[in-house]
Amino acid sequence: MVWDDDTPRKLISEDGFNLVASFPGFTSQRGTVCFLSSNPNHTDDVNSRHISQIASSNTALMFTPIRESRRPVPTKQAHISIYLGKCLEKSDWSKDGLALDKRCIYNYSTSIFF
Amino acid sequence: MVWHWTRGVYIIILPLSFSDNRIKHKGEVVPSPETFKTGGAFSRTAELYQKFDFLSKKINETTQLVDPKFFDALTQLHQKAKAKHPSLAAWAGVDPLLFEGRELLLNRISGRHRDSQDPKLAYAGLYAAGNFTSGGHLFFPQLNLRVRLLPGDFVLLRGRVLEHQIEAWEGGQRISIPHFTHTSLWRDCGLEQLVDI
Repeated sequence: MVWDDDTPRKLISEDGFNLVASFPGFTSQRGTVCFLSSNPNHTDDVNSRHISQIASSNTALMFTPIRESRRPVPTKQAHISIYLGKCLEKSDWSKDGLALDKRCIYNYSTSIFF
Repeated sequence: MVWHWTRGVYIIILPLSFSDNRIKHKGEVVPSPETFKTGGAFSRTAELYQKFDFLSKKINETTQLVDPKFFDALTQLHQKAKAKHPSLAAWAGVDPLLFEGRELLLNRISGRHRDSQDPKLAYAGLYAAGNFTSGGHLFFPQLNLRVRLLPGDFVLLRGRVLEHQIEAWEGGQRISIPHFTHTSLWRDCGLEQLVDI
């Protein structure tokens, strides 16, 4: 199964456990995804070229906690559902701008680890 | 007391090779030497994170939309960690991101793994940039799910729960910016129960 288009999707187990949420075009206006802001201060979006330029400065920070012990986690059989979503244009993106509807498009079961 | 700032940039120039991404721990919250060794380095880093502002806020918002409960827990962690560690509070003045971890990975293929340091109920957020044009999917072997992760795309995943890997790509440089939170910070702040099963 491949999620390879411009549609955001969300995959959750039947008990409501979110597993994966995909947002193609997160910082672009490509496709159906749009996180635009009416605030002109926010129109200077982060794009790849910009990051490339910044990254060349070779500096960044990261908060790094200590390494967590590799404790085994049990396996669980999960029933998975995939939901389609759509992003709405925001006038104020501090409020909801993304709608993930409840239209299930696919169901299957697999083993995941909790 | 249990973590520290360290270098978060792993530069790999084409042709591809792998960097040593092991993290050194000295048991204290300190700025990374690479970042603070000169005024210029600190200035550029601050500028970088300030320019990430929009991306950071989007990621915060999206996390809230996908999982409000986790977002609330992450907000609690952020507030408590800032109160406990002034260095983090200072840095939060530049960077609004709620996740305490962020890396810049250049041209790195991550093999199959789980994020063993993350809490079970936490998310990792992967953002892709660069100028590669195809491939580079995020693959979840357990789900047999392949998710597009081209420049500008973002994926939230249960990194501790789901095995995942990055596939080969074509067309140019790939920059990956993972965002994450680690169990030890939750434990340090007495909030581990919020993200454990």
